[in-house]
Amino acid sequence: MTLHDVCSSLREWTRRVWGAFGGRRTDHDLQRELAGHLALAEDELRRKGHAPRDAARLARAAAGGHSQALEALREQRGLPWLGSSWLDVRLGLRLLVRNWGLTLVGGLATTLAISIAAIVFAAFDVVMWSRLPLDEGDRVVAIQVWDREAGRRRDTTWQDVERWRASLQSVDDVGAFQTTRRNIITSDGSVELAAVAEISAAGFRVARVAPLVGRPIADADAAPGAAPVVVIGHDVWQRRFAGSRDVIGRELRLGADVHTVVGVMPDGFQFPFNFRYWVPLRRTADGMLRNTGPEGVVFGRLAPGATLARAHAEVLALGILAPAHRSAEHGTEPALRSAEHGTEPALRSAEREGGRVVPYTFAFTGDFEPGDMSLLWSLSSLGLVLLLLPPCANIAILNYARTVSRQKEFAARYALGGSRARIIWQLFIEALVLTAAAAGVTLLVVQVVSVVVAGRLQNIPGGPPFWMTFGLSSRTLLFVAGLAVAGAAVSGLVPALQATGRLARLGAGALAGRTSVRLGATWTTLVIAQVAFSVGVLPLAAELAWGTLRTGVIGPGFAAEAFATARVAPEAERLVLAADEASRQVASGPETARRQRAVLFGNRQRELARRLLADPGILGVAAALQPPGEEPWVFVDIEGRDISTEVDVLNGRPPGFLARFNQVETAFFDIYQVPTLAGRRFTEGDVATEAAAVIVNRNFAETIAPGALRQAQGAVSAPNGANPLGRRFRYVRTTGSEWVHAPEADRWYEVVGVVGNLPVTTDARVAYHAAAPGRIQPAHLQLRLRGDPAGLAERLRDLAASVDPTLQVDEVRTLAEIYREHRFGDNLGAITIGAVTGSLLLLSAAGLYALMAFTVAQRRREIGIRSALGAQPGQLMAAVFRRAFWQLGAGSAAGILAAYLTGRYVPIEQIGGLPIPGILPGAAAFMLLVGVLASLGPARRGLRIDPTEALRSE
Amino acid sequence: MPNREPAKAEVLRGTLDLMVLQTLAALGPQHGYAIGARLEQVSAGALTLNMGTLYPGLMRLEQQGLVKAEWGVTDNNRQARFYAITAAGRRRLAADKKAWDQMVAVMHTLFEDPA
Repeated sequence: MTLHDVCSSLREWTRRVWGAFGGRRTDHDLQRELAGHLALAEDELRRKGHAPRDAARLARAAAGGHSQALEALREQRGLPWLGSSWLDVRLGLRLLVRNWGLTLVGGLATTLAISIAAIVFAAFDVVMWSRLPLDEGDRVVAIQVWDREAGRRRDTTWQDVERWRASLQSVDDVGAFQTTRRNIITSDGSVELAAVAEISAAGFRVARVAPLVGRPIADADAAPGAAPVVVIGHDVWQRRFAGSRDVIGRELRLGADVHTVVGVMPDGFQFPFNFRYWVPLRRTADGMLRNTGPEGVVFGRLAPGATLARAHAEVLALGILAPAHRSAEHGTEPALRSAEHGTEPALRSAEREGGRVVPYTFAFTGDFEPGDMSLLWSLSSLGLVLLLLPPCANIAILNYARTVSRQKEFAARYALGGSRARIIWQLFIEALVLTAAAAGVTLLVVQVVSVVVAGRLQNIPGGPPFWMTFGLSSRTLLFVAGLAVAGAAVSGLVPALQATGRLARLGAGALAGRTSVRLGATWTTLVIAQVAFSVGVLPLAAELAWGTLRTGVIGPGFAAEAFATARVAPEAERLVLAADEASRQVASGPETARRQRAVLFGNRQRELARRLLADPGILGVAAALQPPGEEPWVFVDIEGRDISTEVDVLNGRPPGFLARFNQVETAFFDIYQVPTLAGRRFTEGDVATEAAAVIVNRNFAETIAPGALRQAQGAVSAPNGANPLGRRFRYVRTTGSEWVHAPEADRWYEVVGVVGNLPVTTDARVAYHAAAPGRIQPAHLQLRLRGDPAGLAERLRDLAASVDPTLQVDEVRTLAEIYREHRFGDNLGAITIGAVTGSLLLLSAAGLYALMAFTVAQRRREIGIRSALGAQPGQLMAAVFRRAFWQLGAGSAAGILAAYLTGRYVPIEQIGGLPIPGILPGAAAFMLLVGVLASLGPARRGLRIDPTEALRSE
Repeated sequence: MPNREPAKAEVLRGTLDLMVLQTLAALGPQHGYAIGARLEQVSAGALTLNMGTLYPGLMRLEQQGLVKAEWGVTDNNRQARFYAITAAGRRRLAADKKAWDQMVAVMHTLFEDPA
């Protein structure tokens, strides 16, 4: 086929598509041409001597059928199947309106299923497929140190960064950034805590965006002793400097330092993450670039002609320096040797760790291998598609029952020349109308959810990265369209194939309404499966939803607005030293420096607490590692007790039970007015000596000494002698886990007291350790309030800045807000489960009703004959219900068995649900009732009919 | 009414396009009736095209850009649509003629080969 042939074909099909929607040649035009042909033929015959009437007749005979010719022209003019599909769409819409029950129930269930799938897809789309909106953004890469054994990133040494910068051929402009948080203090004293990018000068070259005013960060700005400079974002320029052009040279106070503004970036520029302040990146004292979260990424741009694979191979070959060879600690240049030369390696084992190059946006998705995300997506997409199956299968059953009742219509069309394929196509289009309507609603839902999520993410400190835009992408549109087609295929094609399978054999009998369609084994199985699904799975979903919703419905059970929490942290490794503190500063190693910083921070914390207590709106202050409800999780092993039966749901490894731990000051329990149920509270001795004393909450105590605690005051032992006091336990560290603030693993701790469960953690087991001020960094101050908490955040920041301008305060929330945040995700999940459950139950009931009604209606002839032969109404009803009860009973039994087995191996409490007494028999009874009602109506109508009428109508 | 097949010839698929293009190239713009009459005359009555075959074929050629059409008046004052070959049509005609000649030569050799 030549190029000309291809062009000709394309032209033809383009014009045919245009012709399908009207086009240039109308039917009138076509008829005119054909009439002209006939007239010319007639003229020719008359010239040959034929009479006018004969000439006309012979001309028509020779020219062929006029109607057939016109039909052939119409088919060539457009795409006949497209035109007729439009008629099918209109018919489908009429059917939707006529069968509004099916439309409502089926549409709701399908919309829910497609919406859930689309929302998950949209989330993946944003996280996995967002492109960096920079010039050739897909060539910007991140370079990481990857621990293959642990499957996570490691911190990078400065030496490695400099080696990469100097040696790599396939990556240009290698640079790095770290995130720090600084108090931006204005001249009027107001404090704003902001994320600041400490970034290499290469960052602006990689981004390829020039400043709007002034210059970017230069390499010289990072030199030791260079004056502190800052580049600001457009909105900062507008907000703080009124967009003045003479902003260059103005000063901006970041924490303890005054920076000079040297440049302003254009509106929308937020590289490398979502920053509005950029300062030079200086080498840290320990020579490490932290890799936690978005803090600490090495980036670069692929050199012209280089590929990601080549860059990755080059970085891998370069190797990674072992941490012991940091020049900052040893004061010497690292002895860089290659393992190739057979010398003692200064490089880390390449088998365990190595460098890797990944797309820049991928570096922020977490500790994944590039293939992991694809696998995760593949599995998720399979699950999402399967989510469509229950509603579509139900609709398929309803459609089948309706389709079978249209046998007369299909038989007539078949007799007139319509093909089975055409009829099936029509039924598919009718189903597609419903799923397309559901897809349309889904697009609205996705758009709304995107707006809500984007709004919530903006409220998170820092917000999402600048390359993530939330909304409907073309990929999401295509995905939703694909789901609509898939749903129509399941709910329309399958029943259509079944219902039209015997068209060719039906013959004239079908036109008279006589069909041989019966619900065979397939559909009986479907009825049983549907009942089993409803009885077995839906109660489980309801219990899961209730377990999640219950606390939200009942409420926290205390005055959550009267408590607040605030995160307090020093600026990284910085504190403004008072004169007496400076004289005592002796830096002689990292451990000593850390202890001294702890003392300094502790001084700040005490002073801040003192000033807070002077505020009439604050009744109490105590620091903790985390606020209640957000404590870290740990595994706990009790001395002398085998708890290996508890399932380690995370990695199936060491024995132990899941609990939370917290580090708290002595006043913590007084803040929350938590009673002491046994033993004692923390003393100063526990704090000072880092003792092994631990206080546990009631849930924890009940786990280690079941039945030990009674309602009665002072009861500390159960009849069997169990006593939580004095019991020892230790924390179990799983292999490869990283604990940021974990207590020491394998050290034995002793329970010295038991307190009541704190609000928000009523379901958790919690262990509390004593901590002195300064030992917890950052610390969460727990505040007991008097009155309205409005303005608390600003008061706290101002007070903290007055103690030390480098003290940062953020995450100021009341416990009610924490509660709502926790509940938001749970509530959303529960409402989703509840809505899906409810719609599926409704759909199952409707499907069951339609099938049962159809089955009984098909037996009218039999009922009529038996009635004519003298059968009693009771006998007839029994025959009808016998079959119905068999199907319903089999389905209910299968469902109950499935629910029992599921509950035995996966108790509902373990997955966050709560048992609802009687829900299982209730679901079975509900489905039985639906089946009975479905059978009753048609059976009674069948009994009332005259037997001769029933025989005649068949 | 179906096409009347030639007594001892079978119209090959795609040859109608070739016949129409050749007719228009040789005779200039013609209406559909004249094209059909020409083909019947040249084939000595062996090939008779009815409207249901001729006009869809002309429409297809027009859609492919190989012919163009416009309304006109015949010698005996009848309204008819006149078809004329385009440059693309001439290129297609040349290519198809070449392919046809090659096929004919091959078949001739096959038929004449005593072995």
